[in-house]
Amino acid sequence: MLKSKLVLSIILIVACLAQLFSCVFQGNFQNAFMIGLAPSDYGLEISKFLPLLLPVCFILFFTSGSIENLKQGYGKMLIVRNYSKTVLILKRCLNNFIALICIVLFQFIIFFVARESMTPVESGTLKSLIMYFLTIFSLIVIQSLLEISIPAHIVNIGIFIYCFIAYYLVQNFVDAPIWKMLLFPSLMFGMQNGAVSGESIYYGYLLFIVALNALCIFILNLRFKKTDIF
Amino acid sequence: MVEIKNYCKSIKSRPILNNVSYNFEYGKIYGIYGHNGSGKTMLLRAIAGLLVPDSGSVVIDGKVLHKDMSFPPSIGIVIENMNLLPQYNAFDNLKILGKIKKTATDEDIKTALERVGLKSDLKVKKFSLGMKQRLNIAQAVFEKQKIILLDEPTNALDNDGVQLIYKLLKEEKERGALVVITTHHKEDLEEICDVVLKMTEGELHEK
Repeated sequence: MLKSKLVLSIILIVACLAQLFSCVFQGNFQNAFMIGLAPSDYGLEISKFLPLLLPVCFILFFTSGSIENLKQGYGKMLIVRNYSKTVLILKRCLNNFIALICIVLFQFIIFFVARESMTPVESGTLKSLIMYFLTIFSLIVIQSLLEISIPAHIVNIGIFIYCFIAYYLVQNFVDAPIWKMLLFPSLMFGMQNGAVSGESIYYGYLLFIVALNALCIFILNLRFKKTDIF
Repeated sequence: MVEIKNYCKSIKSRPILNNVSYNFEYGKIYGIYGHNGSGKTMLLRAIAGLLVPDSGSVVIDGKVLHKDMSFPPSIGIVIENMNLLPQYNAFDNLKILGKIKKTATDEDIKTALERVGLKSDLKVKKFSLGMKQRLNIAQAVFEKQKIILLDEPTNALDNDGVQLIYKLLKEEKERGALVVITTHHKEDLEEICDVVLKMTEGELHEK
């Protein structure tokens, strides 16, 4: 409740634009469209990668506290006015889902408009977009799940560090699919860093991300039902 | 009726509610007094569905909390650390809360604010402690809740405020609501309560 959604929305827009222009000034405009095609060498350096992660950082910040807020202060007045904890949790997840759709669409429109004159949109764009969206949504749900027992700001920082480490390890050291699943945040830039390359492996990872989302929402509901609110 | 049946709850192995059993009836005001840490507020949380019992249950109108429903269908609660939104005024705060159940009209909100003696258009962040407490009480009654749980409701209120709240609670009782009040001081309860209970070491005793 302390953070103003309006201020955060503005920061998010600035982050998306910063990400775009950063890549423009580096002369590597193709990489700015991180949800799109894969560069031939998969050679995205950390310094170039950081601007790509900036919007993700703010999306996670934007959605953080959605469960923690229910457990304290004003949240208690909201929660006792609801009949079912399950419905409440599903509503929170749906709110985050819709917010994420709006944010990703906004990103997509920025990149699409800016990129139009440069190169044609690849056929794999939609698939990459879905993977990008679902991976970030997984992170949001995991963030919500951890907020039940850990303060939201610590969870937020932890998830962001995990994203960075996952990307770095998959980019530089890891090749086995099982590691890519454990370090799943790297899949959101899969077309850029080579984590998702082949047609067959894409659907495997897609299934994994969908299953991860469903499992996390299921556990979130179970845990929240058993949580005391003081 | 609200029935508490053999309710036990421990936190970090320390029992805070110890085999509590009691039946609360609608249309009465119940007062619970006891020392700090005796479990008064925890009992209110248990009735509100905020605590999950280790054993036992809370049954409201025949439905078991955490089994048939997560929270009582019509409840107003004032417990510690409940802050309304500071950037809105009192009316807007209640209006936002009212949107969840959609049972209260604008007129109900205005009436509730008048009943607690709040006529200010100031934002909540500019409220005094007493005004915040009055607003908290207003949010617990503005939807004509059937169960009203108030933890130390007269804290931070002046004498006029206390009398106003007592009058409001008597009106709620007449309406048929069940009101439960907790306090440290037994004397505060005798003026308005139909039943006074004592809480000691997580156990509830009728006086």
